[in-house]
Amino acid sequence: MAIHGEQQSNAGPQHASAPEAEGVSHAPAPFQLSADGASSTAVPANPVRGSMAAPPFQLTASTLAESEGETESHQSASAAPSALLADDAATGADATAGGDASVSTTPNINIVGPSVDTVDFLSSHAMQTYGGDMKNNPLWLTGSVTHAAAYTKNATPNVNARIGLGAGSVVENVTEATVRVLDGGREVGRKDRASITPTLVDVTGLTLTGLSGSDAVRSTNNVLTWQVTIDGNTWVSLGNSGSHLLYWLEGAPTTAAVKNYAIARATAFANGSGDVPGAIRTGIRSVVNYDPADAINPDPLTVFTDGIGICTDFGNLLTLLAQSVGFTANTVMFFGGFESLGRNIWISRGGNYQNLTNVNALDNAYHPGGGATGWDFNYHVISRINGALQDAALNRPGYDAQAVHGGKIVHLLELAPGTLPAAQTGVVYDQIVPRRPHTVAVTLREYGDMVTLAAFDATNLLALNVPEAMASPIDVGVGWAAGANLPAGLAFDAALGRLTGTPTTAGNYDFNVTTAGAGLSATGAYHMDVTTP
Amino acid sequence: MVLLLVGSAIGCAFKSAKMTALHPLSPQQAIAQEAIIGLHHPDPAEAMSNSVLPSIARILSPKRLSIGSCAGPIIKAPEVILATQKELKHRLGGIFQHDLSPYFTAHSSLISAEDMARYNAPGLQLSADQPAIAYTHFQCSWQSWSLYGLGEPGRFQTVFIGREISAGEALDSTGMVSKAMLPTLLQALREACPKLDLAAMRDRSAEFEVNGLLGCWELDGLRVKVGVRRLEDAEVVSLGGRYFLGVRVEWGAGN
Repeated sequence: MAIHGEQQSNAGPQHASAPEAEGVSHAPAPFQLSADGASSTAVPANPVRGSMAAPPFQLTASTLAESEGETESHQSASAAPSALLADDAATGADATAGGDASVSTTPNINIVGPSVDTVDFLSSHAMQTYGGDMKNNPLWLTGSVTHAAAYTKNATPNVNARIGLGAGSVVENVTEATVRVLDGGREVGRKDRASITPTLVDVTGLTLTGLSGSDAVRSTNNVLTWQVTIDGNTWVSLGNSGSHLLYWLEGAPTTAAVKNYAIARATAFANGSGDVPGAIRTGIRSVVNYDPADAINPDPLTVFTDGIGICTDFGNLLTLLAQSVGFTANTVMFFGGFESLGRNIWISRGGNYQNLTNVNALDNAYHPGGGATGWDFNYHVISRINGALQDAALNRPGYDAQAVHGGKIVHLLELAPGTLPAAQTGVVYDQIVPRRPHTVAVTLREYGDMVTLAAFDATNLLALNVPEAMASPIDVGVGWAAGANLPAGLAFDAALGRLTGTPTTAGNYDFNVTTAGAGLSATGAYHMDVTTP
Repeated sequence: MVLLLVGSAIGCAFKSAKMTALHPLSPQQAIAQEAIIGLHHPDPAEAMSNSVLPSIARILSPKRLSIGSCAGPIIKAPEVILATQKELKHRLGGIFQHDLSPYFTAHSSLISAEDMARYNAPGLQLSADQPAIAYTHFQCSWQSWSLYGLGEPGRFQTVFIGREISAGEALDSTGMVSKAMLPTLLQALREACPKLDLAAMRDRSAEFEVNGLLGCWELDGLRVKVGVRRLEDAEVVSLGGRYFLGVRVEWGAGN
């Protein structure tokens, strides 16, 4: 008997990332294989593709080696496919004798012009399209230009596939077959009991394991080779699918409304790196110029289009890309000053808003003019990715900066409530109500997904211009007011926050003091004892 | 009789010339940099910029008063200077009816060549404002006041009139900005720019805290703002002991 089919798909490896026109199915070359292992010299004028004669199989070891080519798939020469054993036993003699085909129950397939029509990658991470990038559809169709799917690295995607069989295909006495998938010549998935009809092979829930490039954060273009067998030995090509654009992420995206473009850029930058945040950071810096005076882009991804950004753009963009590929990330602003009453307080160099100095990159190339000296900044925005700081604008991990007025003490609005020094009746008293001391330092403030222009408005930011040589402590002028129940004989100086006078009445006094300035106020409760000498 | 009339006319002309006499600005009169006194809200657009390099947006920042010098390269553009003078004369009158050309310079940029060079490095980019032909700048003194102007004809103009004042004049007993010198400043403004009619303008003064602006008036894109600042010398940073009082008149660039 003879087995007619197409070229076995165990031929040499294919490169998953080899550039190929998307959606191209590769038609197998015809071949014929005889049961005794000798190649047929006769090729039909109208090639009979994928034809396999029915069992009983009397394949020799040499035949198997040629047809299977994989040691682990070799079966005993006398073994019949398990799915066909019943039919084999009942009809083998007739089939061998070339009995009446109209009554034959021998499984037989003869595949002509197969074409992988659809491959649906299931349970991938959802992506929204962005800009001109339309690749977000996990369903691959022949000729599709919108196909892409995102998975966490090392994932084993489940796919459904439909492979059409050309006119003239014969599928007799069999409704199920085994389908396998090769990626770069290596089997990455197999599905038993796939439905097969003369027009269609329908595969559901085939698990792809170990796809090329799936072990790290990157993007891959995998071309998959599909094969079918009904005897477990002889695989007949069903054609190829792909290329499949697959994004391999660190984890599920941590940002809502994930943009395919963000994933595409981030995975391209990462490209299998062991330091994904660092690779994305460097990648951004390699394609975006830095302008400390640029306006903040409301949409971080447009920075790629601009090709230019302020540090806030870099921080926002790095954060977004990191989130898009599954990292926990947020933006961070640092400045020279402190936080008070919910505001960032910039303690700036006199005459302007510079409060940071020596903001250094690791590479001088990222300094002004490529020199050895770092930047003077009003603030700087970076990212925190999985707990670690990353500075995309200066392309470095962490930060290195100094506050212009670092170490100086500033008395602002917040009070230091408590007990004031005791007084005595008839004795002059003079006490300035204490305010909370703030130490100027490089201060980091955590933000969310983005730092927007709102971070610089009145609800978030106050500035104090201080001459660089001004000594510490710096007592900022504020408005003062004292509440009721001051000790008799004492007066409150609303200009200086000072209690002065000579108490006349002993007792225990509790009263409030309030400060106000720049639209803010603070109140502190104070206690004071007045005793008789 | 005729002689008397002539003598009277000569006297008026002498008085007018004295009032409008302009002189080069001495270094002691320079008002180069300013610092808002006390805690304040920066203009978000100005604070967001991480660069102190001059730009039109920063120059026209709502609370900015002083103008200082223009560090951009000087070029010859007499026609641009003439156009600016005409614009100032039309809008302000007064001392701007006279020829201020000896005090004018034209500049190809607001940014110095040295600062531009700092950004001429791979991966850096400076999106600097560019004039159609040139920016114009002037500085001189008038009476006890320092005068500055920076603009581009048809796009924007800024004029600053100010002078140094003592700490006692600048601050009240609480250490906050005092309004005591405001009448003096407004009188000088009326003399220098008689075409301005603050009474006819929308008074926005209440929108600002006193250390931001003591007063602000607007009409048809023209804005007048007055205030007190700590005077910052670019060479020697003082310990907060120098102050100035000033008025800025500005228009254009979207105002």
